[in-house]
Amino acid sequence: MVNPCHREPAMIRYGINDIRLFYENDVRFLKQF
Amino acid sequence: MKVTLNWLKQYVDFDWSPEELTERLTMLGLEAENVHKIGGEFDGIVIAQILTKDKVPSSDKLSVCKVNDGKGERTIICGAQNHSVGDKVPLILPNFALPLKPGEKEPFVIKERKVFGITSQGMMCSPQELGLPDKVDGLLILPKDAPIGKSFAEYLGRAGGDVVYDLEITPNRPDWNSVIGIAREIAALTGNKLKMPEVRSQKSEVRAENLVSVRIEDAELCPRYTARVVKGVKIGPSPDWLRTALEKVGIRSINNVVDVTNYVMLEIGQPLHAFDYHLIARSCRRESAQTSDGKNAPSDDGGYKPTIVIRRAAAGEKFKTLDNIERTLTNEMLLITDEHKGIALAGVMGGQNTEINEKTVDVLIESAYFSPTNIRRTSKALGLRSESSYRFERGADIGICDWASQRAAQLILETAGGQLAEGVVDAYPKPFEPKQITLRHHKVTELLAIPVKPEECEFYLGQLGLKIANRKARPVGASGPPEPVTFQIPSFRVDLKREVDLIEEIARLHGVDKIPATPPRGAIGANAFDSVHDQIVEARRILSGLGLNEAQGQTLIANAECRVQHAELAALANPLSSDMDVLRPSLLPGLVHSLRHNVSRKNYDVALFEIGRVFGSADGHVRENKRIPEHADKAVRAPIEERRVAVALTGQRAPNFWSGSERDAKFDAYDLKGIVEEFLEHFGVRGVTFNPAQKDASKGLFLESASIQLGGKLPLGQMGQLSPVLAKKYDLRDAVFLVELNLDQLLARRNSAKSFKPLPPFPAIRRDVAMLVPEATTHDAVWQVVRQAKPPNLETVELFDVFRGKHVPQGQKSLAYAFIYRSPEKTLTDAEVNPAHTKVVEAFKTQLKATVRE
Repeated sequence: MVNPCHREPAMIRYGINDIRLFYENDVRFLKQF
Repeated sequence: MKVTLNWLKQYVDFDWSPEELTERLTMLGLEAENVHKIGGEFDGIVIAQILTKDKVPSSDKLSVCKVNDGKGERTIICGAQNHSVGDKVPLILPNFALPLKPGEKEPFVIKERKVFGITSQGMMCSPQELGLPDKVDGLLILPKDAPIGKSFAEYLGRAGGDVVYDLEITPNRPDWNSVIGIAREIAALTGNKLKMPEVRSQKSEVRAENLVSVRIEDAELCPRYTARVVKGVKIGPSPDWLRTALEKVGIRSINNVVDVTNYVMLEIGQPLHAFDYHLIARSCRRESAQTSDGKNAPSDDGGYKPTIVIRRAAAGEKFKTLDNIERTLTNEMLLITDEHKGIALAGVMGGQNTEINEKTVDVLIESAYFSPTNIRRTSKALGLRSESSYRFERGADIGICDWASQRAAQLILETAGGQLAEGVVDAYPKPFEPKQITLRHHKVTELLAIPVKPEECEFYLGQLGLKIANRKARPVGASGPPEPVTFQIPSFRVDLKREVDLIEEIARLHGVDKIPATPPRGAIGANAFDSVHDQIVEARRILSGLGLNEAQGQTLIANAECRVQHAELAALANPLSSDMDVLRPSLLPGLVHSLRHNVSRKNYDVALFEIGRVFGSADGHVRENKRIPEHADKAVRAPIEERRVAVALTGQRAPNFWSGSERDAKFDAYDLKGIVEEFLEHFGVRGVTFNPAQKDASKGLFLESASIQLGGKLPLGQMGQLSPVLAKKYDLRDAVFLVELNLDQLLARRNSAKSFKPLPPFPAIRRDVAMLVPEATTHDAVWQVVRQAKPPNLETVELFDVFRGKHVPQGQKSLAYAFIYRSPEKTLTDAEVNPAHTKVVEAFKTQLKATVRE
C-alpha cells in the first residue's frame, strides 16, 4: 500500500474520494492496488 | 463572529459590493460561513427621472420611456398615464421584489421582460404597488428636488438593508473577534485609514481611585485589571441604534448598560463587565483604601470604598453566576471578589449578586486581561462558555483594556446618562513589553518566490499596525540588499511570533492569488542509499507474494485496545480523544481493529500484514495521561521505538473454488506458521524455532501461542490464535491467527546471500516410515532422534502424514515420514541404505516408544 507521504498524490492519481480508506484497511480497497 | 456591512463601514471606507467583500475577506483568510442579507424596506428601488416618453406601437395604453436611474439609462414599458418627461418616480430594478402586501405569501419579483418586442428593464411604481397611502391614479410622482439615483428608502428616511457576515475566525487570530479587527484588515487591503472611535478623558470632581481600589493577588492569572465608575446612570432600554446593532449579530438586548458592554466587546474584542457599584461590599478598614500605585488616598464615600480583589477561588467555594446556576469552584479558578464574596467568575461570567438591575445607579466597569489557558480550563471544567471566555481563552489584547473601558464609559453616558468619575484604577503590575521581530527582505522573496519591494512590505505591515522600531543605517551610496528592519508588534497581534509570520502577512496583503501557480517539482537522485528502506520493500514484496494484503494502521491508538499484555505504554500528555491516547505498543491491536472493520462489512476472509514502528515508555512506568514532569530528563522521556512486522489471518484460506476436498478450509495455525517460515526463508533468516508458550504468557491475548526464537535463545516475537473472548468482543466470527516479529532483529540477523549447489548427478533412494507414537510426541522430538542417529547420506526427512482414528489406539497417533538418501559420489544401492535406515527405525522404537508399521 501507499506510504503516508504518497497519500495525496495517490488520491489525485486514482481519484480516491475518501482519505479514511487509507487507514481502514478494507480489503476491497487494498486489493485494488 | 458575526459582523454587518454597515457596522464595518463605520470604521473604514470601502466601496465593495457585499459579494466582493465576501471574496476579499476569504482571500485574506477570513472565510464567510454564511452571508445573510437583511432586507431593508424598498430594497432595489431608486429614484429615476423620465427622459423620454413614446407610445408603444401596436398598443393603445402602453408607453415606452427612457429613464435615468443615476447610473445610466434604462428602457421601461409603462401602463400608467399620469407621467410626463422630467418627472421623478420610484423605479424598481430587475430581480428585486415589491414589498409584501397583506395576504401575499411570496413577494413579487420584477424581472426584465419583453413586451411587444421591447425589453423592459424594471418597473416604475405606483403608491399602491409600494404599499404607500398616497391616493394617486398611476405612478407616484415625486417632488422636483428628489435626488436621482438615491435609494428610495433613504429618501423616505426608512431603514436600509444590511448584510450580516458570519465569519469563521481561525484560533490564531483572536484580534478578528471584533468589528474593528476586521475593519483593520479591510483598511490594510484598501490602504484607507482605520477610523477608531474617539475617546476623551473627562474632568470631574470625583476621581475613580477614591471610589474603588483593586488588588491583584495572582498577577500570573490576571496581569491587568482596570476599573472605572459611572455615577447616576438611569437603567432602561437601549436606543434603537444599539439594540439593532446587537440584534443583527444575534445578541439579545438587555438594558442600556449591559448592551454597551456587549457592543464594545464586539466592537474592539475586549470583554467587559459592568457591576452594580453599590452591591460591591465596602471595606471595613480605612487602610485598605489604596490606589493601584500604592499611595493611600482619601475616599469620598465616608472613607470606606470597595476593594476589588482578584484571587483564586477556595477549593469548593460556591458561586452563583448570572445564569442563576450555583457552581462549585476549584482553587485553579480565578474569582473577582470584594472583601467578602465572589462577584464574578473571571473572564467567564458575572455573578448574580452584583448584576446590573433596574435600581442600579452607579456602575463599575471592569476591563481586564486574564491568562488564556486559565480561562479555558475554567470554562471547560464548568462546561460554561460565553462570548467573554471565548475571547479571553484565545488571547485578548492587553493593550486595549483602558481604551475599551473609556469607550464603554462614554457610550454609557450617551445612552444611560450619569457622570463619569475622572481617571481609572489600572492595576497593571508588569506592563506589556511589545515584541520585536526583524524582517530580512531577501527572505521575503525566498519564501514567497515572487519579488515584493521592500517599500511594499513595509507599507503592508504598517497598514496592519506594525511600527518600525529600528532600521539599520545604510552607508551612503551603498548598494546590495536592503538592511533588515525591526518591527514592533502591536499587542493585539498575539499570533505574530517569528519572521515568517511577517512574511505571511505580506503574502496575504499582496494577495495570495498573485502568486503564480507552478507545477510541482521533483528532484531525482539526490537521496542517499537507504538499505533499511530497501530491505523493508523486500519484506513487503515477499509478504504480498504470500497472498497477504498490506495494511497501514494508526500510530496512535486507544489505551483500552492494548490493555492486554503491555503495561509500559507511551501515553500522550494531551490526547485529542480517548480513541487515540497512546502510541501503539504493538501492531496487533490495529490489525485486529482492521479485521473487525472488514468482518463488519461482510469481508469475512482477510489476510493482512503490516510493517511499522511500535513504541514503549522508556522509564518503565505506566503513564496514564499524566503531564510529564518538567524536570524529567529528555533522554529518559524519549519513548523506545522498534520496527515490527505482523500478520493477521481470519476466514477462508483460499478464494472460492469449484472442486477439491479442502476448498472451504479456514485459516489455521499451520497456515500462519507456514507464512512465517516462508517469509523468514525468503528474507534470509535461518535457524528459527517455535516453542509453545505457557498458557498465561500472553495475558489473555492468545488462546494458544508460541514464542519464536532465533538460534534457540534470541526472542523474535510470538504467534498464536486470538483468544475467543477477545474475538467475540471484536465481533470476529472465525478463528483469528496473529503473529508479530521484531523487524529490527530480523534486519540485523538476516543473511540474504544466496549460494549455489550443483544439482546432484545421482538418483536418490526413498524410504518411508509409518509409526504409532504417543500423542505427546512432537515432530521436533522425532527430528532430534534422526539427528542423533546421523544416518550417512541422508538428504532430507519430511513428515507427510499425521493420522488419528481407525486402527490407531486411543492416545496415539500415526506419523509417516519420507527419508531421502543420496550420495554425491555414486548411485546408492539398497544394501548401502538399509543398514543406516534400520538404525534410525530402531532408534524410534527405543527412544520414542514407537510402533513401526512394517
